[in-house]
Amino acid sequence: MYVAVKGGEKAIKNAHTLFAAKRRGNENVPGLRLDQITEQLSFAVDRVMGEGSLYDPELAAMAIRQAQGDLIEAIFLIRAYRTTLPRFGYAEPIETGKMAIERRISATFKDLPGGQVLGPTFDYSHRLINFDFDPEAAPESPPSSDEDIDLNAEVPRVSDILGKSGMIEPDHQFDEGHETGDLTRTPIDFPTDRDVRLQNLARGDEGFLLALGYSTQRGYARSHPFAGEIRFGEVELEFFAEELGFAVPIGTMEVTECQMINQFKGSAKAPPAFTRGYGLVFGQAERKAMSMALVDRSLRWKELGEEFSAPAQDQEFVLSHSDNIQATGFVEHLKLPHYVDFQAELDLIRTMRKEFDAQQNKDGDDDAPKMEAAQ
Amino acid sequence: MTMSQQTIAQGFTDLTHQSQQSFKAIMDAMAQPGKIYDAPHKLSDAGALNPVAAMVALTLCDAETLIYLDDTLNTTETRQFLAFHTGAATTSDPQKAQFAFLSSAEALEGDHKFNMGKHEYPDQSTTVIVAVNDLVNQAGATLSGPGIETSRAFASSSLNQKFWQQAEANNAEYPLGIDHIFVTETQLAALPRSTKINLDPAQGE
Amino acid sequence: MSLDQLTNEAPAYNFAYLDEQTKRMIRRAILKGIAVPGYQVPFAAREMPMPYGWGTGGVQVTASVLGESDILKVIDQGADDTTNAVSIRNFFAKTANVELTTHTSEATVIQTRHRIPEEELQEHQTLVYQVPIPEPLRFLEPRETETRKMHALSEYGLIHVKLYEDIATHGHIATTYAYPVMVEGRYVMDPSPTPKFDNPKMHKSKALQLFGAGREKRIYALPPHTDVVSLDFEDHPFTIQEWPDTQCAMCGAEGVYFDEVILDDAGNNMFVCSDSDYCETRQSEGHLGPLNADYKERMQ
Repeated sequence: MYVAVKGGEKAIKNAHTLFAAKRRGNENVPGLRLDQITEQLSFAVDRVMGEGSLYDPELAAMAIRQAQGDLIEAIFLIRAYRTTLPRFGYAEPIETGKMAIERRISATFKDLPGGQVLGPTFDYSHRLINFDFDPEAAPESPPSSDEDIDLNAEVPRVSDILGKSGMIEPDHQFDEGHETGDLTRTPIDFPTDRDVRLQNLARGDEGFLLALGYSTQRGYARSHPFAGEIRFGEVELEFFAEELGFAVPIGTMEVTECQMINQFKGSAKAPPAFTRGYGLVFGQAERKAMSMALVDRSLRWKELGEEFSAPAQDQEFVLSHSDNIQATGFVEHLKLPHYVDFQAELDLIRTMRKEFDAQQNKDGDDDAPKMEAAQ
Repeated sequence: MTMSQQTIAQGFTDLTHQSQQSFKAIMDAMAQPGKIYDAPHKLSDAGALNPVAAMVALTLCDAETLIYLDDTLNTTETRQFLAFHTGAATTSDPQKAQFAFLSSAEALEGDHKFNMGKHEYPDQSTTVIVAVNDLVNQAGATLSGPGIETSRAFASSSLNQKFWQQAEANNAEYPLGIDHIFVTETQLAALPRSTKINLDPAQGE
Repeated sequence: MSLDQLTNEAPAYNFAYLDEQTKRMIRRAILKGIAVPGYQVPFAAREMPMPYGWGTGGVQVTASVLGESDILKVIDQGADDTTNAVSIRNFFAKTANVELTTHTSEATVIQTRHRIPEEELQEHQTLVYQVPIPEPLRFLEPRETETRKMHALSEYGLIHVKLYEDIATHGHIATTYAYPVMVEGRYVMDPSPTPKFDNPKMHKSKALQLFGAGREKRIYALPPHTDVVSLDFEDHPFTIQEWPDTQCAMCGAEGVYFDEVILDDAGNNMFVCSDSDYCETRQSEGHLGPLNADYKERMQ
């Protein structure tokens, strides 16, 4: 059943057809395959999975292709799909201490158990465009290690190492009976606890968190951070099966974890010790994980008895504006027709102009400059 | 399938549309306090719940809500019916319940037993579903307020003076308060906290 | 719910898109909104397949109340053929397959952005508003923690001060749309960005009015016959927009809300009804405005 209406209907249909043609571009150029995206644009895929908060590389690739590389648009596609999926339950917490490490660096200790593993990274590369880059050429095969490496060895987290000596605050503990929040099922009620804050940051826009994290470094609520550890690799995912009575592995996923260590001189509420900021993101996303950790730490000002002075500490401000799907929707809604409100404002401005002119005329010495005269 | 599950009565046969129709009746009832609606669906053999109370439960309750049942309704059959069709857990703490199913209005007499909500969050209150024998738009209480053009006469032989006093006290706490849904075997009507209650219209004349 | 139920349902998307669990959650919020008129009920708004700010709140509310036998009308800026109204109507055509209409009087559910139809709504009708910022105090106090307290304490001095400052500076209240209202003497409410011209239509409306703000995750409601009073002062009573000596160029209507249409770059303009159904109905009844093609014919 459908009722035909004027103009708008046809315009929308035509616009979408035009857009589909533009998406494809020159048809002589081969169309993008999903595996090309998952294999060769992995950072884009990881960002879409992280901020889309759905771990599925192929789906993320599909979204990136459909969105013509507009990552926020791709994240939007993923979010809108994610919300339709039934929930079977919550996975067990992942154990990043048992991660199959691909990369692990610490800026705080020259050497440490598990070692520094530089792994695959942009770091220390010179940002020179490679004009001779041949996309078909096989890359040089990575060197194999001379040393015997025990791949199954657990690599303890730097925070755990420091924790043994009591130099760093312990892992965050919630009160007994605290149920982990989920902002996709319950709207945030300010002020909110760290679990919901971290969920919000993990889904938050990389650029927004980057800017906020950066602002803390420049003195807006400075938190004296050290990159205690950044690790990236594969972790196992487990699900507690009621009928079996124990957790079963259901797959693996790649994550990036960042533990910032922040100097803390102590306050009335807490003794001097190193404190933590935490970041955890799907895939390899170090910039995001580090930014997240900086912002997480600055949001903890109240709990640690610090002074409030900057935007990055303001949880209502940060958490209400971190979601790029909400932000892009509301910013872009300004494209929608606003004829009615504009008419109302036009009417008001006309009235006020009339009143202003009348007032000017009343005050009206001849030497008072009139607007028209001045022009 | 266990023996007990076999005895659980059927819920909605068309979940999507029947729950929409049921919701529409409940919404209209809440929006027009005291107006009596025929229930679009009646679910029989729902433990000790009457068929319309069962319709309300399946329309509004799920794993995200906690249900309170009074002693008469709190039977194994009722709990099984609710657990199977809604996934909602029951609680014995009336303050924690989002929905309370009552076999009579007696449980409401006296002090505010159920959750009235908070001033910041008046929505965090209990909705009570009360089984009654009948619903009539005749002399009894005279209702006025949002949803009522001028006033509406409303009564039930199951609602005594004590109940109405409680309901007045409930309205006096507005915007805090509980919202009532009255259910007979076939009909429903609602009395939200916003409704003003005049108990003795004769006196005013 | 059994696994079979979760996986064996045939259609790709549920009736009206939302899953039943989400609808239940929204329906519970709607009931609370009706029980406490004007109070903003938090709800766990879902991500929708259209952007936040483009009507996701209204769409979720409509999807939760809509039934098979409903007749749906969608308007934006008063008109059925505005692009976003078309898009939302298409969404429900695709996902709910309900009967659609452009006629206000035929509709049982009307979703709107920025306008209330000119024709008086009736008791069997539900008007669903799309709301961008549900908090009437937001532009005076950006913090939710603060505005929530103000509503709890019914402490509305701030908004009166703001309106009075307008009067002091400009001689009158400089708010022309989203003009705040007091509901049943208890809650100050944002009527959504409708022009203040429409505010009086909310007062004691026969229709149920539901408001959905998806991005801000709030639902609120006005049951029929609810007191809705625009804030004002004794010496500066509330007034609505007026277009003296103006009639609709197409249907000749007066005293309605107008769209201004620019005709050329020499400053010529015309005014037409913002409510497209109202205008078309009048034309079909033989009312013609001066720029209507049929008007000239009739004059000859």
